[in-house]
Amino acid sequence: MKNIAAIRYIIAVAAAVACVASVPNVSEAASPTSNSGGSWARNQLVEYRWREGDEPPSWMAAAINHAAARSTATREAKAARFSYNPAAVSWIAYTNDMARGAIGWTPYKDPPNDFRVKLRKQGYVLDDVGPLEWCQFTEVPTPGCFDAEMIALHELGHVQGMGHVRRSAYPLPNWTDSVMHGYPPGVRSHPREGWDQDWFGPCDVARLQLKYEPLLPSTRYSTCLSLKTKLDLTARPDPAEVEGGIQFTATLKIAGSENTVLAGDAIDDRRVVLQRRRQGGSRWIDQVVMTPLDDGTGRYRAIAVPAPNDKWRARFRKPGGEGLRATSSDPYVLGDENEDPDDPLVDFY
Amino acid sequence: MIGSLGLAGLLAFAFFSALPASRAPLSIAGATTCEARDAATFARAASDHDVWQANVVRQDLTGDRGELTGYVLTVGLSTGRQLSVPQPPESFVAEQVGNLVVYGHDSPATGSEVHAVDVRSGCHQLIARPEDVVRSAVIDAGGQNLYVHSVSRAGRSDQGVARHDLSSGQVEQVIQPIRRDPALGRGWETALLWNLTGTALAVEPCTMMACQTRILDVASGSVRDIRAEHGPTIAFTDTNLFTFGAGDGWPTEVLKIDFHGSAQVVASEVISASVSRRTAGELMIETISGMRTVTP
Repeated sequence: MKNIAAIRYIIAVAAAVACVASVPNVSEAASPTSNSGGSWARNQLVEYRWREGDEPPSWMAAAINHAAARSTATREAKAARFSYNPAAVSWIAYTNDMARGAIGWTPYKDPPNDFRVKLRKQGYVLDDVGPLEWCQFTEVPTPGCFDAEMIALHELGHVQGMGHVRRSAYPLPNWTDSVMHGYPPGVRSHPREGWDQDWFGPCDVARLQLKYEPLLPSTRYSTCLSLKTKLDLTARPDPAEVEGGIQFTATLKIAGSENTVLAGDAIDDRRVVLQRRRQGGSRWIDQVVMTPLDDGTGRYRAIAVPAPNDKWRARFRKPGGEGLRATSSDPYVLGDENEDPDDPLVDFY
Repeated sequence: MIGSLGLAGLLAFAFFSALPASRAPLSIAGATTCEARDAATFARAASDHDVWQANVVRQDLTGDRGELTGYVLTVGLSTGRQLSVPQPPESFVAEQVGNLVVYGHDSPATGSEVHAVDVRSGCHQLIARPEDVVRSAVIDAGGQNLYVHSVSRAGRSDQGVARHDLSSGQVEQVIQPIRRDPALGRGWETALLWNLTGTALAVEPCTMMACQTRILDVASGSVRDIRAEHGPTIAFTDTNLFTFGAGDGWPTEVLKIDFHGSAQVVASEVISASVSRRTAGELMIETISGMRTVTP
């Protein structure tokens, strides 16, 4: 360190105005609507029972319970978890007593207290369709049948607070990006693509993440999102006292955003690289992949031995398969003339 | 026959006197058949002023695996007895008009039949046998005309609404099939609804997202479409519809929509709503925060 006693480091200040997270058209249009109601507590366990007198037959009960488990497994957000409990307040009914034009219906939800869901009976006659056929009713699904697991998952999506994917949201990137279709062709029946989809599509996950935050800091953000990120870079003498070494710490977070739920959320377990630009150079060169601390803070670390007047920055490139945008920290400048007495690096040497 | 009428918009005729005997008579308990009376005479009970408000209940019948196998329709009669009618899955019961409750069904054994029971006298009678698959039917307040909504037997395409003159037997297409809005998807359930004064009839197919509404002014025969996005209609007056909101699940809104399609929100966070005939059509709306009433 003594060798670089004259060197002073200044930690560049982050941009004065926080970036605004950007949500693409799809998720903007598909974002929870005004009548989506309140929110369940983060990861709230919401139990349900069968309504007395309207208990589903075993094949339907199994489909509903499967949908509840799949909702929990595929939500990728701190959305509610659903589980059957015969003593629960919330209920699900197998009944024909529901709004016209529905085969599944969520007439009531009052987070964080309770909800009600109804599913129609096998054989109920619909205008254009004739008798309603649930795919689980027969051993082999019949053409035109509706998958009870998918419909139950759709209703649980309503319980989570998701409205239907609106016309304005079309076209979704892919048909299976959501199980919350409402507008045509609406509910998909066998053998249409996705007829038995028992997972939330990425655009459903996007809405759940926007509403409830991702499940963990390491959880991948839905590809239906395109959120701005923010990197801060700090430096201090290497605690291991490597000769001339500096420990760089980058912190990756969701940028300040219109979506107040996500703004400032730490992002763990991504690939952040430390880059250097030599004095007079025009290119940033990758130096090292920073090690994620994976402690829920979004921090990444690397040790480097800087040369005088080099500039350093952390770089997060747009990852494949995830709805995060690339970002870079402000440069960390070696040899800056504007000495800052409060800079912790001033006393390195 | 009505299927071809639906396409051509022509008149056709059928005579109840010529109605063939039911191919597989339903087992009806608790009421009396009134074979000697013609349909028009029988249906006058719809215009009775001294009305016995019947308790009408339709109970699901299910098989061993929970499948719907039909219904049992029970109608409490003024005689103290109860009409009990088994119905197949493709069946309906209409709201009581005067002393008449209209119900019907379609089955492979019988085809489509529309029956009615006079809840005061306890008589019941077959009053129409549409050729297409009857989905619902309502009678007017004068007991003169039966309005039948049906779908085609092959393909289940909408056949619109036909008016059966119960005196002459004449059948006339009064509402053409509503062309499905491709943006709304399949039409799953269609309602026939009288306005609060009984002067206009709405036919309203609903998809899972929204409903399309066409209104017949009975006196003039004019038909108008309501061009506003909405869910099922709760009630309507001579100038406005009161409907649930469309689309995004529940709780929802109650909308007031004028016939030109302008809509305003009457209530939000609505769980259910119904119309009270006893209080001049007052709407009773249950919301998350409690009950409220709206006077149309």
